[in-house]
Amino acid sequence: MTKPILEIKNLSVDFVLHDRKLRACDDVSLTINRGEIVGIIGESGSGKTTLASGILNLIKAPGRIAAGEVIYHTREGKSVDLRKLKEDEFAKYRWTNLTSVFQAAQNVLNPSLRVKEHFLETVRAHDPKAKESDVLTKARELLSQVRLEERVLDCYPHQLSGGMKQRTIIALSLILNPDIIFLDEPTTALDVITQWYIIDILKKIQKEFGLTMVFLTHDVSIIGSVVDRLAVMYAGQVVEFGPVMDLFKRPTHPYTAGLMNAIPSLRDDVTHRKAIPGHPPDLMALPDACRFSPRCAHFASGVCAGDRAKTDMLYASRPEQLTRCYSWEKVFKP
Amino acid sequence: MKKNRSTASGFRAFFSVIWRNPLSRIGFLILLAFILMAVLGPFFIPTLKSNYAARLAPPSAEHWLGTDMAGKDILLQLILGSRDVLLVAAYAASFAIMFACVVGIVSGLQGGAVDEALMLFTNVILTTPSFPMTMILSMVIRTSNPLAFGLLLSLWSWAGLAKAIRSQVLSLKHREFIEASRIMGISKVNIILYDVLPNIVSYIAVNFISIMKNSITASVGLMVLGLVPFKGNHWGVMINVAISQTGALLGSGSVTYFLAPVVCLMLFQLGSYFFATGLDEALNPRLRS
Amino acid sequence: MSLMELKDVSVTFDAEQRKGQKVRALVGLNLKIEPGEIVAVVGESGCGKTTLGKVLVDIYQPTEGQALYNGKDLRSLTKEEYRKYRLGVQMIHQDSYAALNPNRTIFQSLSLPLLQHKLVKNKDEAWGLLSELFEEIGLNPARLFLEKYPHQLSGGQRQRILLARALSVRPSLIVADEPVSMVDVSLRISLLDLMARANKKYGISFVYITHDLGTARYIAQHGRIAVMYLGRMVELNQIQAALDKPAHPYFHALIAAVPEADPTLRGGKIAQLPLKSFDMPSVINAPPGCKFHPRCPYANERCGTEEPKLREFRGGLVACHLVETI
Repeated sequence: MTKPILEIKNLSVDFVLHDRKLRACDDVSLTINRGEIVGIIGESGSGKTTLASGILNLIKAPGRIAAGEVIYHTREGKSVDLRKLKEDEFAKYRWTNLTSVFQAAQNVLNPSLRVKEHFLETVRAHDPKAKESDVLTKARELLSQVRLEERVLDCYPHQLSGGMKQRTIIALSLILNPDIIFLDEPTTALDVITQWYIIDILKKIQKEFGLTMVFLTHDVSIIGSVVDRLAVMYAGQVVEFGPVMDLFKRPTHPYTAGLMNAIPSLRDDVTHRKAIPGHPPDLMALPDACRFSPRCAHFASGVCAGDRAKTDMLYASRPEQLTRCYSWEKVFKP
Repeated sequence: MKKNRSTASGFRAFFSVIWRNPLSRIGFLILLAFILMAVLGPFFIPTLKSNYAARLAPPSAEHWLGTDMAGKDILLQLILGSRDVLLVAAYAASFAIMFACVVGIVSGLQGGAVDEALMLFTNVILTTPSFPMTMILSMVIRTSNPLAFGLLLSLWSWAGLAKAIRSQVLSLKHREFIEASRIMGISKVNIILYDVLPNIVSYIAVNFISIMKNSITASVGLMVLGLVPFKGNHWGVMINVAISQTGALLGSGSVTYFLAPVVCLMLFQLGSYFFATGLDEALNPRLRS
Repeated sequence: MSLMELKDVSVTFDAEQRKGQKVRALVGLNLKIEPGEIVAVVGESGCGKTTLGKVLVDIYQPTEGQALYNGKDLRSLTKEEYRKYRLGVQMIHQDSYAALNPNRTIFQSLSLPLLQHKLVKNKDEAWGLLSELFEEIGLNPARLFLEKYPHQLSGGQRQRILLARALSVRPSLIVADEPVSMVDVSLRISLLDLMARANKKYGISFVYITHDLGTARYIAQHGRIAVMYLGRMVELNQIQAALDKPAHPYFHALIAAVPEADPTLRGGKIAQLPLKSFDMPSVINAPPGCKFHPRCPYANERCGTEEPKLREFRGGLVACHLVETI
């Protein structure tokens, strides 16, 4: 039984610099179901981080949300448009319902507070009367879930390694029993072995707490083993969305296909790998054509005309797959 | 050919940023007005004539700002005086910047004992109060030569900038592009000229304006206190004379004699400050486009 | 005679935070780099691979041991020989934005070494040389890129410019320190292809430093791989042989941890990594004996007291007491 937990409808985020407008997110629509893990893949300029910031109401000037709704369906069945909330109303939802974990390099931890004080502060911001012993018991539990020892509670952030900080932030984000957790490049700055463990921990936690996870990254290799459904973003738009295995094995957008083909791994046939030619477009000077067309081999060979108007919507390519490529039938084998 | 093109477009880009920012636009115009007044003014005005009959007259059509106690037009004196004011300040700022650059860059790049020695010296200068020291120096070294006076004023104003330049250099030293230059075998001199200096130019320019305005204040202060044997129409002298010889502060009719240079000083300060706000952005290629 | 050789090189620093303590970033390293070969140096953060790269370009000097260029110790080169070395060994940094002077155009930055070393006679010749080079590495039209400032270009373009800069002085060896980790994934291979082409066409050796085994395998297809752990080299072998049959337990765990995108190539899901403990010890307080033994599932008493030396095994070198039995 799939019930939606978050419905993003036509979200657009603009940045205004010196009277020129840059649309970082263009008319993005996604539905995330309760209990699933959704991945969002995108490279630089794709708009995925802006999307996460937009959902969590973290966009600051000169950026602003130009249009769209973000409807959150709570456990109790209420539906709230997060866009319409004022900052202090939204703050109530942050940490209790929606939490976020960003890249380890971005230090969310206050360097002058011990870890246990972080937990206490976070809980007390929402429930001033919470008892210290209760909070710390829960904190200890969570730390053991992320394979950290109790002694970490008494440490300052600078005494922890990158991997330990990341695990602490994950535990911290769970202290108020959130519904949905956003992870933006949670393992990018970490070593391969640490990365493996953190992904393992995230999967276990997700199962145990029935969390909904939104996993944003540019790393194609890890996302395959973690997520249920995957959204691929390019130049501010969602270009493909569907079950992750289908996207891997039978992509229906040239960018998705190109991406899968461009990553060298340990066991593949090295001679088959090919980079996607060209580079991401300048969002302030978009061509009046399909945004991917300058780099698309099918556009270059004339199979597709790259008509911009036709790329303003998504098409159902397979039973549960959506693509922005209107020529997908010509380009991809059924 | 190609180099000139980029320099010309560099200037254009520079001015477009200054113009775009309303504050720095105003500041630029104020400073431009003063510079024009100082440089061109003296050529266009008639000679100063004493006219004791019309002394201490209030502003009128003939004398826009009135006259002083010898009947000389105040506006003309202001214009004549501005040249000295700005000249002294420019000298002071130039010397201060030269000292600060040498000390800051050498200290930052060399490190070790050289750095410690230079910083000890700099800290001593920094912690001794600058105005009293300058006062003492000007009493001891009585000069009315703008260059010498400028040098005197600069002696206590370079220390803070030297430290700031040193920390800029320290942070630059370990940046990868300097390491890349070393790996490419670029000589130390070239590294200073092409890698370090362009990255502290905006810093220096902003501080140049700031030191200039501090020097003006200091020089005027010294003259008001009568510590400098400056002849002529320097604003500081005007203020000094206005206070001591005409009782301007006590509400006599010579209040314009006192106010005119004071207002000019304030305007110059304001102009410098406004201009400086746009300067950092204008000199930084990253913020330009 | 090898192009470059590190003989028993150790590099020790003073610990930044704790006075009096030493950090042994590199210990007893031996590596020979032949002309025209590609060597991948892999390991996680703190393993010393970046320090190794900086010793090769003489930014760090060995505290013990020698770094030799064409058989001669770097410290004993004459001024002219050192100049040749300087131009002969170049580096490509990881952060392409930090590696370029933000206040100079690309042309100004790249022409400076050419003019100073008199590799060109004047600015016009420099322009010509750089234009040709840029077109060769795919930055067309060259004029567009030469006149820009670093912040006006994308990460991938800047990284190509770093490669062009290194190539412009006709080196024999290029040390690439994580050159593609800050580049978009879809563009990484194109940059690696350029390096492979430079290697084939001009016979330039590459030392490719990375923590990403996938790209290491891609570029060093016919070369060797050196695996580093806490400042020591623990395995050295031809890359395909090493990846197919890793000898050292750490390398084994590293390979197991690498995520595989294509599900059909993944093999069985690994429930547990062959590692006893999660976190890597700090370089300051390295454990006694074999540095890996606290995390090694096979460690015995000898591993805790005696540090294993690199020895021959199956065509390569491994530093492990128990490698035959695993």
